[in-house]
Amino acid sequence: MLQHTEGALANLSRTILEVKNLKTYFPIRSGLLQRTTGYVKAVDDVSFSIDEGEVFGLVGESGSGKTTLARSILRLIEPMSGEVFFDGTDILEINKATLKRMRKYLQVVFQNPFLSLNPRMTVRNLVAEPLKAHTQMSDNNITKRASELLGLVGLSDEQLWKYSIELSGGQAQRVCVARALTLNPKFVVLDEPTSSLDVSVQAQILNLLKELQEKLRLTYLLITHDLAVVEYIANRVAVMYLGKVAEIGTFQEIFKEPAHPYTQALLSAVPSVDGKQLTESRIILRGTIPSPSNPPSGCRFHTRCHKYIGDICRDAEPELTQLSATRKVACHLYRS
Amino acid sequence: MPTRTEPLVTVEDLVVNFHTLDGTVHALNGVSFEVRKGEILGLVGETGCGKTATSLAVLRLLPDNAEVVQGRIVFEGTDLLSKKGKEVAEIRGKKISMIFQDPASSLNPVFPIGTQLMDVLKLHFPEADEAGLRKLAEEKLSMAELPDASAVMAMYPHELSGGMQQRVIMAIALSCSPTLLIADEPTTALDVTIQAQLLDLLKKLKQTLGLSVLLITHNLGVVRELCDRTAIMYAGSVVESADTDQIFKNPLHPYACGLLSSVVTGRLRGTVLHHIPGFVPSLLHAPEGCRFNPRCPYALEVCREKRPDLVEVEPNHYVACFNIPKEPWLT
Amino acid sequence: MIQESSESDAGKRQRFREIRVFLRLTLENSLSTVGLAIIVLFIIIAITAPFIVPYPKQAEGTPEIANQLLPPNWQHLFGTDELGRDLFSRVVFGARISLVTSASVVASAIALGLPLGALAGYYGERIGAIIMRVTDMFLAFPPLLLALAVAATLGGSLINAVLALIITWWPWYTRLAYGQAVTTRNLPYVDSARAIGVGNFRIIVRHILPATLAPILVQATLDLGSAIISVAGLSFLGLGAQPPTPDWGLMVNTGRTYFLQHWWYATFPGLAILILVLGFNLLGDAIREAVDPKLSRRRLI
Repeated sequence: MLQHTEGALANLSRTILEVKNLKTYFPIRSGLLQRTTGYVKAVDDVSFSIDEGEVFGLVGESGSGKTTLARSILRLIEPMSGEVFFDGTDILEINKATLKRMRKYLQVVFQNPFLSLNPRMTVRNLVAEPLKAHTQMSDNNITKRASELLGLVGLSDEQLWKYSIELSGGQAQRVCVARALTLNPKFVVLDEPTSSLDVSVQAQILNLLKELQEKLRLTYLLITHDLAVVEYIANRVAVMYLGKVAEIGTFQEIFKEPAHPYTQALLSAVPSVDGKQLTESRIILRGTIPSPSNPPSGCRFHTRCHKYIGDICRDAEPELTQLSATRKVACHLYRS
Repeated sequence: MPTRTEPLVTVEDLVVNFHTLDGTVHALNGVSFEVRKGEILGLVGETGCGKTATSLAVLRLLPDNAEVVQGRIVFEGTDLLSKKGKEVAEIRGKKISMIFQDPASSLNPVFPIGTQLMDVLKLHFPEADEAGLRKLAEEKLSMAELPDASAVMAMYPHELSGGMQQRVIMAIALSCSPTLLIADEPTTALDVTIQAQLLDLLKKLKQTLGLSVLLITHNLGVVRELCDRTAIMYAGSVVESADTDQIFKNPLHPYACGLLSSVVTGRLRGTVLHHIPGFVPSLLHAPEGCRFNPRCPYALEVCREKRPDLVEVEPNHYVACFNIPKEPWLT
Repeated sequence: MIQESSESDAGKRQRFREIRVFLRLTLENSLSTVGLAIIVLFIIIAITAPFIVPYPKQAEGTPEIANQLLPPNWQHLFGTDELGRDLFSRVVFGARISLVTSASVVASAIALGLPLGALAGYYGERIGAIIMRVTDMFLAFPPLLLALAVAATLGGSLINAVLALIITWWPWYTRLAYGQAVTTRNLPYVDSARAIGVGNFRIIVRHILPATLAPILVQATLDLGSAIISVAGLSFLGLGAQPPTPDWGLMVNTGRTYFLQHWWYATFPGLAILILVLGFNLLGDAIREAVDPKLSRRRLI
């Protein structure tokens, strides 16, 4: 019944974020004259779109490029090429002033709350920072708004005057969330929002995020390596490996019938609290994750793939092909 | 699954305080548990519960401002806490070994792997010759499933990935064939697929070497998969310990129930996640009696006054609680 | 309702915590207590100088030829100089000069060097490269030589000595601030501020600069001691204070020629320099401990 509602909503919504052929490379400089000898292809030709109101999960391990992708979308790093359409406007093309205005709608919550909050600022000032940057609100009004926001995330006015080190992990993360909501954004990037939190605090924060999403009609891009969180909350999921998208699909598709061999291995590698692994056989991948500065030829996963079919995997990069209305996979097994 | 095998190391009622500029932190408040021969015991808990402090206490690696107020750590018949410095150094690495969370900071970046591994071997086998030690070192690296051991010997830590570094650490830790390995969050910093490889390795080593492991972690999935028995800690003491399956299927302590039912899984999609109300107390001013009482829906008057001891409530299932709920929370 | 006060008790405790930690560390360590005591003593003496000194006019320079070169006695605790002036009064007045000049040198050097370093570190690339290369140029000179050259060019006077030292010293603060700025720039909370749309200027002022203060503070305390020696040194060489200013370095220089028969003339001002600089060094160590996050974490688990 719940899924029925989700499906109906999905049909009615429009695309709020569209990423097209995004490439973010980091130059590798060496030698006395610091010449560019190569590139770390952190994000290599990534395309996907997110609908308004959905929770889009982005999973991957280290080197997958998911964090760089998030920072590129937020324009905290300048991508090499590609387009990022937010609400119809290509964020990569606009000037600084327009970008600053756009930032009101496109916010972010980072992983470690204690590192994301300046330890020398009070909670009130931290939450007020966006207001100071974008509005001319008076101090009194700012404090009122800060109090409102803290209430929204389940904190009391008492916390207004505290410093971040006086807070617990959960409280600090709530402050980060409040900060992100100050300017009434439409889209929030959540970069590993619960990974540094304890188990029961994770639960609280996830509940809060879901509640806020419904109340404020937010769209989330949820980046994480924690598959349980994605399975719990995401509508659609993209799996990344070494800078490329391996697979995109709805959460049912990805978790019940993963198509890409990497997705299959990833899912089977997660130790589950239910003790699933004890009954099913696990796929143990060979080797380690290659470095993004020197990725394997052809399909980047071919060096570890348990479903390697032959030379084609080594020689040719698979395209992202459409398997169904909602599913895309980049794997030679599924060539049309 | 071992039933009642002999204990290898027993921690009895360990109380440790840390003296800090802000006051005395009552970090460990009577920790009791045992690791049995040939088993993997998971020591689980959230931040601040004292699991790392406990593991450091076993190897006498606590910092200078720590004070062991009372308790015993019995290993091979003697209390480790009563041993002198030299005797403890004998045990470290040889009988009890430890590996930590961040492999990169456990390896010296300036020396090649081979040198670091052989340094340890030389320490514990002073009479052996260079060539023999080298061979032994390569064997240990192979045991940790590192491909091309002789090449790895010449490499520097930064040339290896996180997973490989952790394997090197394991090789070093197991090089002198200890009976107990203490692993403090060994896979937390690693990717999921690499973690899977390492957990697999630990299982194999347990089989082939008869290794006992004290695994400290906050990742309940890892515990479920790897550990034979589990001990759950809260604010400085063990509140429940039993066979892993038992604890996950039928937790009895209110904290354990709360903890396990708040774990995120896909199965709970669409529902509001359960969480334990309140916060973990500051150990500077810890609550009297059972430290969980302020957050416990089953708290009685006695819970605020006395600390409950671990009692064997069912065969091999220990719980420290005065008022074990008849119908636990677990959904 | 929202609290009226702008800081909770806990917040105040937090703000003063660094001071409390500093005080506790200082007082626990007897050496740094001594350092702090010395400095406080000298400051008090300097402030109250005109009131506590027996011969204030002589301190400023009025000669009393009849009393020239008397050894220490009850009327003249440190003896007198070649113009009969009471040395004790002059040394005490000298404390004012030393404290004021060293504070001016250090404060100005920081005012010049800190913003440059912060800007260079935050923006990096071309701006950073230009600023740091200029800084490197200055740093390439041996400091004393540079100070001498500048002071000689400007002419000998106390103010010119101070200027010379400021010109010589600002690069050290730029370097320090640059390092801190680079580290801080990459911290998540700066990213977070950028993501919110906070402008560069605001980020530098609210996030980067406060982070640079800690090492600068440590360096500044130690530098106060070095500044005293440098000003004294320049005065000693004739490029700083001119007679009749009661500058310690000048007194040591003049006293030098009388040293063999009149030991007190060069000795007491010299001792004054020694003790005050020692005080700053001891205090600097205590500040470093209070401010170093790694050291303080060890104590706090």
